[in-house]
Amino acid sequence: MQGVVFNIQRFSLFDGPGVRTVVFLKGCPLRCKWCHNPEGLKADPQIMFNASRCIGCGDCALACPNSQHVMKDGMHCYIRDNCIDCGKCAEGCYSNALTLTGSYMTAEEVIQKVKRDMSVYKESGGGMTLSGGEPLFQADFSLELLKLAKAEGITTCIETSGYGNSQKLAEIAKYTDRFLFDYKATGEEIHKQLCGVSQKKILDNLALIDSMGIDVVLRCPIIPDLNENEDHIKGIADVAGRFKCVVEVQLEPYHRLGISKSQQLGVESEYEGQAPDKEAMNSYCKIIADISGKKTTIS
Amino acid sequence: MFKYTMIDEKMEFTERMKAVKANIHTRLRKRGQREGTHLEIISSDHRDPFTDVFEANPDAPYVINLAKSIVKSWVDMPCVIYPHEAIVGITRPVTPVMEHFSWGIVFEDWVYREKEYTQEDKARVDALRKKMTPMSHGYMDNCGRERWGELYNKVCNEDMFWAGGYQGHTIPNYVTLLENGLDGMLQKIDFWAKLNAKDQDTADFYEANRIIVRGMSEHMQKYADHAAALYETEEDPVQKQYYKQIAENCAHIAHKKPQTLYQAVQLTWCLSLWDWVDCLGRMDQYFLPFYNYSCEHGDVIPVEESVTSMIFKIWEGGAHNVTLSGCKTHDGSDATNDITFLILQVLRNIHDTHPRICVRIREDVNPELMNLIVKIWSEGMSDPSIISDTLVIPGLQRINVPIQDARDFATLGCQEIEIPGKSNTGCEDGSFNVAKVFEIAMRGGKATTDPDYQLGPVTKSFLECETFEEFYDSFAKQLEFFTEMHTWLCSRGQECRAANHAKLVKGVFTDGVLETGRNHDDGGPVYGYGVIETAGIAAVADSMTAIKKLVFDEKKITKEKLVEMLAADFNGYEKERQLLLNGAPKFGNDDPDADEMAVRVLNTYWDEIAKYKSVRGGVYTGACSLLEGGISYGHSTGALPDGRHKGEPLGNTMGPRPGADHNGVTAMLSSVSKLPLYKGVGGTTLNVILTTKMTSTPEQRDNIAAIVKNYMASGGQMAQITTANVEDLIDAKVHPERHGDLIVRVGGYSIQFVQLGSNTQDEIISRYAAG
Repeated sequence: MQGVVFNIQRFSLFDGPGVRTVVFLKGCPLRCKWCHNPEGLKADPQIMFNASRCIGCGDCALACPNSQHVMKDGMHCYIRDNCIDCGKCAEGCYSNALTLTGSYMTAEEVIQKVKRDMSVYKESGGGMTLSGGEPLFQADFSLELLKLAKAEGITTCIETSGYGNSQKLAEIAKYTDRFLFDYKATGEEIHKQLCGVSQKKILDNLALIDSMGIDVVLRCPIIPDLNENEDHIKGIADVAGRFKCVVEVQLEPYHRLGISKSQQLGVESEYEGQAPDKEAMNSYCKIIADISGKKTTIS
Repeated sequence: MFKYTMIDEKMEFTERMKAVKANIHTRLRKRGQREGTHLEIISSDHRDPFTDVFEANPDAPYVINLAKSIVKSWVDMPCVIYPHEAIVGITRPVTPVMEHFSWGIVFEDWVYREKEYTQEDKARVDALRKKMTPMSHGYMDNCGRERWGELYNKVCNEDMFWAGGYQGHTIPNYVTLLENGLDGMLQKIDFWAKLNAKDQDTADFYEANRIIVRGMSEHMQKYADHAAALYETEEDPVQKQYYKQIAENCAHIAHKKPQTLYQAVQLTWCLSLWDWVDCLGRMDQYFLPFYNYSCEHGDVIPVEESVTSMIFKIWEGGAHNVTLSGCKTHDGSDATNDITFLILQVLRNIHDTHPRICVRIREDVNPELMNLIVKIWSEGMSDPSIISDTLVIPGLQRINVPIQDARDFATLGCQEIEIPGKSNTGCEDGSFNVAKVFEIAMRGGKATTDPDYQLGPVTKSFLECETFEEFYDSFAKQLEFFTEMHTWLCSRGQECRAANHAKLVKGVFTDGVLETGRNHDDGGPVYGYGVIETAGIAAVADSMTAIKKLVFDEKKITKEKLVEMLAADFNGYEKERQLLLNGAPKFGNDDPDADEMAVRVLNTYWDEIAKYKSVRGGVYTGACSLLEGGISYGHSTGALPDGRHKGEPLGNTMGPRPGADHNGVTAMLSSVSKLPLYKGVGGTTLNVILTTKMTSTPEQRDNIAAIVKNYMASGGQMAQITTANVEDLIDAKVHPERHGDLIVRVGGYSIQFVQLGSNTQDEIISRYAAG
């Protein structure tokens, strides 16, 4: 079975316990306005164009079957209105200004790469984390990856929005040591507005994981002007307190590291804000910890 | 179980030590420098002790005059005791003539530019220069010219290596000093002189040793007398008491061996002063018996103050290295003790670039020790560095060091490895740029500064090679020729130091010197293996990988085109340069092909140097801690097939070429640990740059500890950790093209190197390196 993977990132320190390797799977059903991995949204490989690396050699213009790259007075212009992401331009781009993000890999190929840091996992209590994109979007592939990892003695985590098929999630959960489960907004309408999908299924899936007794870290992005308000902070505390499986809450302050990636994908980032105030974040931490009784930290 | 293991809070100094620290801070700020000497010129009477002694005794043997001059330089200096301090003794000022362990007698001509020294003074010195340098410092060059003629001059133009330059870090045997005391040392000298002094030269040598020891006694007695005099006139009762303690302490160790820790540190500081505050070795080991004694029987000052005072002194003096922990020599068990932790806490509190400290890491390193080390890194310090017992000990055994001595290894300078108290490892005998030889091999042995001149043996030029192996073979043959030349010159440089008795002071206290009657550079010390610093390995390896893949295997670039673009420094060939940069893997990314090539190149060179022995008696071993060498050799190295421009830095550590690694720390460490570092017992360095976020919580610190422990246990040798500030790094994302190998890690965030940009680590290291 093949899946579409857009990164396998070693030395990941904030994606579960210990030192981990994160496998980023392409494709996501949500459209969160602040997404910091926009290259993970579409299911198929896509071209990313980093203009600062372009050396103006013009080879992309020669390679493109759809005339999407044009050279004018030695300057390169990427038109992109008819780009089919075939990747031919990226193949011949020596400076890596044009790259194809997302490649087809078998689960075995992925695990071979994940195994490289085995001794570090043992030493640090780390392992493999699935992320993306949304791992549940490639549920079958995710399941296979987790099974193979477990067979190698590697501990497993999943970073997920929780939006996916519940039966498949139940299977996946059997091979998952810890969930890093997103809680992004409070209120069905607001959730649809900010993330593009209903929250009902997400909360149902959280309840499912709760019934299976698997540890969950509740991952809460705090986005000024969008969800940074009293209702949502209380909402986080409420969910954290209600579900026994939640062992910890991590607040994730908005950051701007995704914006340049959107630019390189040729899409407008929907939201470009500033990081929330540090003092405010500390106070949210305290409120949530007090109300829910769960350990709350700022990521 | 151990004391001084506090993590969350810093250790509190006593009021006395706080006062001493404040004074040192003030002096350092004012002086602006610290290395080994107070750079003030004594302007009393325009005389320097060396000229005085040599002038007054024109027919005395050189080594006797040398010894007397050294003694005079210490004893004639005014005593300075700073308020509150417990350990006393200040470093010497620079005089136009003085001795240094690298050379023997050196002439600090720049001093003449100061008003105090006249043309008359200069003339006096010039008249004595020959007597003061039995072997001219030009000896090595003369030998080179004699053996190779014009070829030697051409080689010098290439800037391929240096030999016979600054060297000599080595640790005198502080254990011997402390066990014998100064009078005990005189007895030891007499014992060996009786056995060995069969001719006048050797007898003179032993007498010179005696003069040094008596001089140290005189020096300490002077301080005792000075403190006693200050005691008489001091009004403050507290300071008065301090003077009394100092007077008694110095009077005791002026002759007798120490019993308490307070006595031990004063005697240790005395030798360190005379030793240019060089490297101090395994301080937590040799102080332990005295520390235990003082804990049990009491001491004049608290044990914490004795250790703190010692560290303060070497902080101000700019000591090059202290080694901590590791294993006990008799059984290999953990050697960590209270003093290990105490010294680290003092280092932590000082929070400066000195003293340099290196902690030896065993496979089952004490967890409290590891926690403290990572906490100190998290506070923005790049000391302590760490080094692997697991790798180094067998590496030393491999060059015939017996297990008990191998277990005793200590670190030097920046940083090399030796068995303390009984070694002269060169440190370094010389340094060598393999990238320059690569360039010469491309040209079939012709010089890079003179394209028609046949510098090395005639081998197939790159254009003439049909296969990659043919070219590698050419490279190997060139390396053979120049390695023989270089090591031969290193030995000549060594002969020069031996003739000039460069390490007279160190030699008194180094095992093997008194026992054989041969001086420190003349094969006296028990261990005499040599050390060659190696530059350019990653650049050459990556260049070889690129050539093999892109020219010979995939035929994407022709040989002719490659030669053209290198000659043009890639002007007009940017596309091809990008192909070389991105189309072939680079060492440091855990790529099997790139790493295999790096292993091969390093083996080729380090196996070659091991064919030669230093005149001190041991084989040459590899090292890689080049300081600015990577930059200066980089200046004179042309464009290379790894995509590097002419003049760019080559890298000054055993790691990837700056900017070439982009897969994160675990990948980089994995690459480096594949190298045959067990052959590099000269000592190699590696920089690891982290962000403060990665060390901000106990869990994160555990992660970093896990990574470095894993590295130490799986082939890694040394690591120096620097922590940068993450806010700066994230801000720098606005200019991604400057920070290609950023190791920002944010939860759930995917970093793609290729999206970030293609430049070197220079900016990020210089902007954000801590300390």
